Amino acid sequence: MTRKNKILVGVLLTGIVLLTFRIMFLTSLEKNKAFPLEITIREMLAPLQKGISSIINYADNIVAYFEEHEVLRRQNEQLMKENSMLREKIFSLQEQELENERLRELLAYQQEKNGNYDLVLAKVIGRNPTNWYEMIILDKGKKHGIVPGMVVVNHDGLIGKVVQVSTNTAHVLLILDQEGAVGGRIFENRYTPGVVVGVDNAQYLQMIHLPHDVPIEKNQTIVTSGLGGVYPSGIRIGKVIEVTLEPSGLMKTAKIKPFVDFDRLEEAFIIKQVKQPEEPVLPEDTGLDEGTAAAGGTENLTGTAHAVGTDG
Amino acid sequence: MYYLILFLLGMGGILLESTVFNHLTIAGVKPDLLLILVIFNSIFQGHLKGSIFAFFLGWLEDFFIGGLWGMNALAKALTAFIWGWFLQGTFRENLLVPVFSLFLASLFHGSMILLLGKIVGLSWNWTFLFWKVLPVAIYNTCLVPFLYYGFYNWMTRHVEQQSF
Repeated sequence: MTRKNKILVGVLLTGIVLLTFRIMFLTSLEKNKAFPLEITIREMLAPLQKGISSIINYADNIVAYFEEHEVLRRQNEQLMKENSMLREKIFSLQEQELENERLRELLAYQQEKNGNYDLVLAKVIGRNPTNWYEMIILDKGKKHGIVPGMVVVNHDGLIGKVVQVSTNTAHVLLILDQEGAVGGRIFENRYTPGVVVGVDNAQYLQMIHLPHDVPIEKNQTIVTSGLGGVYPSGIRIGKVIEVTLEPSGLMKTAKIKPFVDFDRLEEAFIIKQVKQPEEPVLPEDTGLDEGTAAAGGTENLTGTAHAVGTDG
Repeated sequence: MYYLILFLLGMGGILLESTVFNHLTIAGVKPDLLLILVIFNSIFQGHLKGSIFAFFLGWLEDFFIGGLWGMNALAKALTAFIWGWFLQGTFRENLLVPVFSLFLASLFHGSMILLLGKIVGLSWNWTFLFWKVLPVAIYNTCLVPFLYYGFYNWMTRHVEQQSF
């Protein structure tokens, strides 16, 4: 390349660069305006862009479908786990709430009966595995001063009596068991007419051997009579729900619904010592109207006792 | 024919950058396929032919982008010229040659664009060097192993045809 040519190339290059700069500045001022050349190139490439974009979007959608599916599957799994945990938590809290409620009631009962009994709170840790006995197992035993024959109650009423003890457990025969007969009396009229016993496989009791003239009616409350020396008097047993005359016409039988819900028994009090037998108050849910209760009570307060059975 | 194919490749690059690579961004950046093509071409064609091709391809890119015509043309032409000149006589069969040269060329090209943008009064920040220029350089470099041998084989065949 001759010197002249070199100079020519140099001048040309400089010219090109300067021109490019000039164009750059010019076009930068006109950024909002598209020039015909730009438009032509863009229009030329637009269909291709569109085609490629459609393919990419289609592929994207397919990938996204699987990705989303996977994400949703994972989310679902996670949410299910979370749900299960939360349910467990709610269940646990509900259980604690119920336990709290029960314990509050038991505490109130303990405070209320402080003057009457020396009570020991025990948890129900099991039930008799056989079908032959209506029995529960408590978590207090010899170690806690529990001996057979002690009466078991809760804030609702009478549960049963301790029949066997080990160092840390006590087996309680429920009043539902036919072996767990209790001497009962009608609270409203202090009439002591009979024995309360369990009925086969039933969650209610029967008051048997009632003379036909006993003033017993539906909705009356039955409490322990204290006869027999095992059960202190005045502990609530249940409510009369039905009174029937036996075929001979000489005796009556009363069906009694116990106040205690034996299916949901979780805590109980063992009466270690009776300080002073209680005078029970009517439970709120007896459904007994005041007139009936008062009339019965006044009329029969001095009625003759017709006790025909003994405790235990 | 050779330059027609290169231009078609360049257009393909623009299309891919504006479509496919929108879905393949890494650290928020797309690769500069045209710069890769320009540098590959300079490795084989030398600094003069390389920079002329880069200049025209840059124009094409500028037209497509719109506004600031000549910015890519100048930046790419200068980059192609410098790297074409540096790489004269290098052993281009070695993959490290395009790898390193493309990394450095990408940094240079990005800096040039940033500088030109500043000159024409754009409010670009110098931190773009770290957030845009460097990631693009890394992305471009990562693509070299996948693209270079194809380009190398095609160029070798082209040179053989020329010699016959």
